Amino acid sequence: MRWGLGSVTAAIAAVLGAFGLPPIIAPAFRHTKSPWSPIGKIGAPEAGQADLALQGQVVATTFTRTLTDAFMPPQAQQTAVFVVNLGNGQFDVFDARCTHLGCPVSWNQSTNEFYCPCHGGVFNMQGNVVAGPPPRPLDRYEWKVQDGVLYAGGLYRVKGES
Amino acid sequence: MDAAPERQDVAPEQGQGWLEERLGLRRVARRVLDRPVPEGVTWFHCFGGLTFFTFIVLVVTGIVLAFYYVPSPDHARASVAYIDSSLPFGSLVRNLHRWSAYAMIVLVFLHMVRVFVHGAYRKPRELSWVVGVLMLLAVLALGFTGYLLPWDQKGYWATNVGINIAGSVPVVGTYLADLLRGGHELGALTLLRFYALHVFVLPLLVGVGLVAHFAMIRKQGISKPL
Repeated sequence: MRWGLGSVTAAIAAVLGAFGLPPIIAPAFRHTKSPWSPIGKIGAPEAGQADLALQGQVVATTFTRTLTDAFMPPQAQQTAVFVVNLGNGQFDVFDARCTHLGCPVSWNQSTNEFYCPCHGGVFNMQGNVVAGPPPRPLDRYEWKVQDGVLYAGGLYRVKGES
Repeated sequence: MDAAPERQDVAPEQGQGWLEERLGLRRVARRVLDRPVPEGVTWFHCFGGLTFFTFIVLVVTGIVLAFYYVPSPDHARASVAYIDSSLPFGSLVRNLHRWSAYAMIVLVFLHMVRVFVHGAYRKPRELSWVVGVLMLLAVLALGFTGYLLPWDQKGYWATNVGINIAGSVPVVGTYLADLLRGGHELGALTLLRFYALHVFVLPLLVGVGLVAHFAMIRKQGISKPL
């Protein structure tokens, strides 16, 4: 009887755990595909828009993505990015969040560096860490140019020097 | 054959009430409440009890808040604003919950310092200390999860930073952060799982810890002051 009760209790706990845990941890392993979203037309910017044709300059801008957050209705969301036109049709599209703890970085024109106000993380124009606690270079967005428009895709990480 | 031993039923005393006659609650109350304590016990020994008091206040006010709060990104702020501005005594209850939470963090640390300074964690009370530290972690987690629930800028970014700290753990950090967030981005699922942790999982853990904590005090008594 002693063993019987113990086994039954263990079996119930095992079954509850087997059905209870997966739904809790599942969202952590689900990958959502990021849609291609237009950042802007390259050259001839409209009033108030960033000029993406300027080469070798960091352009702070935002693009709008329609994202679906679980059970919420799809929503347009503004995402802050830094775009660098490298010339020859090449671009860098940096995520504006510091890779240390996610505070937004700002571009300092006079020192040619990205600066994070939270803990003093500093990145250069290539996104590499110059100083401070960030563990890796600025995250980047996949990009493509189509019909003269720059698009942002999925966010990805760069390890070490890039 | 020997005669069966006589039953030792206590004869009902005169003047006992209907309930007392059946349950004998007075004896239980005497056993639970009238306990000898060692000499030299000071006000510093009250921090544990005060922590428990704040926990009771938090449970009661938290239940009241749960009648009105909606853990969804499109309604969280509005429901909190409703509690604050339109619900009679709503802002009182919410502020009691907030200030009791602050007080609990302070008191739980004072309690720990008192136990440490008095060396009350030593044999045979090591397990009381261990359970206490586990409850401390649960209480800090309650503070962290509760901070997000108003779904304001402060809570959102504090959670962002807090989860990124969890993400800096070697090897498993990325999975840990995704597990806490319920995905790769902080959003509806984060709010919902922080809510579930805040109102179901963590209070239950603290409750179980408190039962163990108190049972051990019952069994061992409080330690003599140095």
